Amino acid sequence: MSRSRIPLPEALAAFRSVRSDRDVVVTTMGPARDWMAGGPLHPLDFVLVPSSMGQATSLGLGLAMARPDRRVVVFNGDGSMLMNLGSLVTITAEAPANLVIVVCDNGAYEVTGAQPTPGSAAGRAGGDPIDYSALASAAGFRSVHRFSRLADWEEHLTTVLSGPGPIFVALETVPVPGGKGPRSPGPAPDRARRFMAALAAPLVALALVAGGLVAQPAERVATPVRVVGSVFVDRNGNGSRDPGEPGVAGVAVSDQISLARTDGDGRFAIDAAGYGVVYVSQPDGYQVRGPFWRTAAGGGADFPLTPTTLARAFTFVHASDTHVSEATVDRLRRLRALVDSLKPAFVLISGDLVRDALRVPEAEARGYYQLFERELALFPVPVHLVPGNHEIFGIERHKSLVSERHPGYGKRLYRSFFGPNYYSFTVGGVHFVGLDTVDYFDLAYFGHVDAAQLDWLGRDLAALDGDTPVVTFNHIPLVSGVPAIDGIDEESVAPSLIRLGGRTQLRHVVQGNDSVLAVLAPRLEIALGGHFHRREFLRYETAAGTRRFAQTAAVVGPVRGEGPLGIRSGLTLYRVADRRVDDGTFIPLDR
Amino acid sequence: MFAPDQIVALLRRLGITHVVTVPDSTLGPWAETIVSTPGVRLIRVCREGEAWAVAAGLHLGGATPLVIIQCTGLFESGDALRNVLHDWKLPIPAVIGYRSYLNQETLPGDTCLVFTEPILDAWGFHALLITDPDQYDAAVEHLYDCRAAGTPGVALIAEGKA
Repeated sequence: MSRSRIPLPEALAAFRSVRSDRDVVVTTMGPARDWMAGGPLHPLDFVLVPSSMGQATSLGLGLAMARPDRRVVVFNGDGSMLMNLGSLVTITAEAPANLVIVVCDNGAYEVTGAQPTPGSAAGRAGGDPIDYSALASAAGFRSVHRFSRLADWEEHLTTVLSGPGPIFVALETVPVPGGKGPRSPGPAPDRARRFMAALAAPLVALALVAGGLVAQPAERVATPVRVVGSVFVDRNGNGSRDPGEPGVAGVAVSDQISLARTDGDGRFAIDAAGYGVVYVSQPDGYQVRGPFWRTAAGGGADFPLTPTTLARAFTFVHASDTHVSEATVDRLRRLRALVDSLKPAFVLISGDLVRDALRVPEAEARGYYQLFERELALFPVPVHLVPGNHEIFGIERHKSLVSERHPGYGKRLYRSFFGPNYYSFTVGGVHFVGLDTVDYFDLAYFGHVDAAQLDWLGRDLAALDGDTPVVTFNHIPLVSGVPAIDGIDEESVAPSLIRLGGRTQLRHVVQGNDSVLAVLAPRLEIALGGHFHRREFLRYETAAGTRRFAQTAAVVGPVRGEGPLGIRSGLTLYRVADRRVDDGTFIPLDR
Repeated sequence: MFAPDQIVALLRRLGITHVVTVPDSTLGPWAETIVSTPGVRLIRVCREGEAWAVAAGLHLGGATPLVIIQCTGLFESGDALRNVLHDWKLPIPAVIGYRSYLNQETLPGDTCLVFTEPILDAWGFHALLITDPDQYDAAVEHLYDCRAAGTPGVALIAEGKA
């Protein structure tokens, strides 16, 4: 019985119907011929004609790695694939999430007269055709698909393309009798220049906004998980919702991407497509009992609340850079002692919680995290955290020897301990937003708020009452004068400059901060940061009013005054009255 | 041949973002330095012909690749580099190890010595032979100048014991 096969033009037409304007499409040999015949070329089409047969997959890999913000789809032939099977291994070694390889398997060297390939039934002594999807699986592809019916390809195409990459698709296609070789649609060097221009043009724009080169999308879950639950008043304090315990309506629950609101009975449902956690944005007048976040593993997630009687006047402590290890844990305990005496409503700690996770093996990083977690439990008031650069696990791979495929790689280890790396809560009529201003690319971190977070921020703020003020807290500052004061450092382990997307950028302040500030304005009451191990206070008088940016000192040190300015360790105590936050008071950690 | 800090300086001078490589015994040890250079990614390919196409994709995508292979891999690369360098006119720079060059007395039978330089010429590379670490600056400037001129430059690194 003959097997069904897909006509190549129809297979390509199906893809063309769902192809995004941002997709880069590489075609070669037979697929190139039929792609050109199927419609006008898009500026991001790269017709690899003339070619070196077999190299389309490798060229696609290079494109995907150079442009991780673009999906790159390569339509290859089976004869071409056989000429460069090693490229499948190279691709999975690099594992670009944005690369899709489609092998159109017609079993023949069509353009030379349809001689059978050695992978086809007709080309093999045993008549046993090679299964390219099995080859791809063996080469390390995890998203592998095979279609021999057009209807199946059309039905599943969108789902296939939205899966985790790299993706491999084997299409069993019909040979075209007398099929000709593709003709170059114009001088190759000219086409290369036009293609580069088309691809590069948006890069400039991307570099100017906060959504440019980012690594965190790689940490997104592959498949959304349905999470249902309720936010309720836990009258008996047992953590479970019992009969008679009322729900709290209108509370935001988020997966760090979308935002759901509880209904009149306090219930919510969210398809968690973010980073594997969901959290409740603590509403005004309540304190979350226990963790404010849950792992998004499906099933239920209830958030018990306790009503509070907090007045409109309160204080909070801003601390940062605790860098906890066994050698420095006494500094964190000193902070706790100060908090004990100051009795603030809560504490913010804006990153660099642990000594370092960037460049150490898992056991060492996990040890620091566990130590911090134990100490955190001893604080007398709620403590709200965001990660710093030293919480990012393993990305200096040459030192940590950690694989990018490690389940804790990047921000994942932080989330496994402390939940969402950005979130919000409201106290005393003031909305506090913890931002993650540390992004990473390959081996290096840098100040940046990625596009997904920026979108989330817009959604989070959109739900606020018109005049609710916002306080942000994060690690790498949104605005700081320190790079100008300290000058450019090119020598240390964390030099001042980084080159991304063809641009040299300052690394230790948030790049694209104008986009972040545009979302925050005009609600921004004060923006708090850390990272520089010093108290810094900036005030700008703007057309929209006063804008304040304040960094707090490090908890870890220096114990004595350091440098020409005599910088020292400490915290900042803020007083809030009628939703206005004062300029803060620096309190040294060492008397 | 070159010290780790010289390799980093070379990558920085050329603005290299990705190194695409198949190692040999002289160039392979560079990998540790390359991997530890922030902003530079090492891509290990399965065969040298693949390296040129990966580098071409990187170049088209706006990155700045460097191919590092041995001359035997150059021989293997023929059709791929023909397409990349001459059909598409993409000036991909390369560092190529010249096997046995420094062992000409002891290894007269290595045919790499026969074919490497003629093949580089045939494929239209602008190659500079580096036989001594003191030629480091010349190697870097040669690659830099070739790229500035839009031509494929090669630093041909003599290998073997002096």
